[in-house]
Amino acid sequence: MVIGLFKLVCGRWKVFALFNLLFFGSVLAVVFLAEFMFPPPLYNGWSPNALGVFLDGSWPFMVFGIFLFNLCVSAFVVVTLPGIVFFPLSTFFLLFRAVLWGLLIYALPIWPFVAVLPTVVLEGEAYVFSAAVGTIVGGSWVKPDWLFKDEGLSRVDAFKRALKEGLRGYVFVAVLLFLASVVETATIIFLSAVP
Amino acid sequence: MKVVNGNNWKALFLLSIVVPVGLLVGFKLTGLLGEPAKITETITLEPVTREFERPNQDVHLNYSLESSYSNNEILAKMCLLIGGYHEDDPLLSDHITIRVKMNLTGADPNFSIENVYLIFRDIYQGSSLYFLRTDVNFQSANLSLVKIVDGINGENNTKASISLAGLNHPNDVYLQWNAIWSLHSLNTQDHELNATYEVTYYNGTAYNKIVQPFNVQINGGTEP
Repeated sequence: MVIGLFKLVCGRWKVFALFNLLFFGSVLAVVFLAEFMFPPPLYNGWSPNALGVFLDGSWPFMVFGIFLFNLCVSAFVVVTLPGIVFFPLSTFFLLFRAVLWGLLIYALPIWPFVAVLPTVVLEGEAYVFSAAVGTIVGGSWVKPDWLFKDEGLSRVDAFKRALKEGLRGYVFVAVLLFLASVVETATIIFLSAVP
Repeated sequence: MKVVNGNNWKALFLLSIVVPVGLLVGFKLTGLLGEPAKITETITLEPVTREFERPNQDVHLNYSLESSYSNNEILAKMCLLIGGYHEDDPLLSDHITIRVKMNLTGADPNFSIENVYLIFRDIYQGSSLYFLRTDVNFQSANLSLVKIVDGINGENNTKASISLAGLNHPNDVYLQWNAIWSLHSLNTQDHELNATYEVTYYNGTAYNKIVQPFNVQINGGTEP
């Protein structure tokens, strides 16, 4: 299984690299644009309510709450599923998230900015993978030759194969999102403890 | 000729994360990306107060507590209107209708309203305050509702709070909202409603805040 996953990623370096560049490049671009277009953001401090958002701040529940929400809603429903229906939509929703994150990051002072970066990288990478999966599966039935060159697969066969590939890809998404939720919980607890 | 081989794509994959994130951190740490601003000045205005004896029958009070403040940055008109007193309502018990009203205008084109926060407290624990959610009772311009909490008995006898944000850095905003203050007490009971309006604005170079407290004191009367 591990070898299969490795092969999957190796076979799609190009796609992942392009999506990464799009996502993290867009976050950077939005932060810069916001810096020059808007007045300096007002920082009112970290909201202590953040701890209570997920089930009264019990950290194991927070980890699983964040993980399940990000996996089911943020990654699958928002990013991957629209791409399966119409493949450019995964890219669109990935970029939309990049804009939102850029606007959120831009409003942070240095120390919370540095504290949230590991979460941004891990979670962002998971969304990059989920967008790539959505695009690959969505693109497979539109034009099988794009993904499986010279194999002469029918649309149905190409879709089935891409779906299989996508499911394996989602193992990466789940692992990354789980790590991200652990880091995010630790970051929330840390930021809530700092006055 | 193969310009980009597999290893190069792997390198590009890593660089596509490392370069943007590295640039973000680098620019932030070197100060090229600025720090967010903090409120530089808080102007607390004199409280506007009104004291009256608690009626023991339905009556139109029509008291208007008004405040007008201006400097070279902002013209702020804030009101708390006390409408009618209603005795023994089967649903709301003894209650008073109130209206929150404010109009804020900036003097400078770079001026913008950042947010508006209103908090209501009553010294009497048993009372409650509800904002009416229908269109007739709520009118606003260039403001979006961020959070509303009402019908509670929170910390420091907080009965309700409203948080609004300026929409697209507005130069002027307007708000009018009707509410019901249910007293839930005998007519002999005193009440004191403290309504505080907090307006945060950007004057083009810094953020300032205006705080306007309103006090409505009701002295207990006699049972009907």
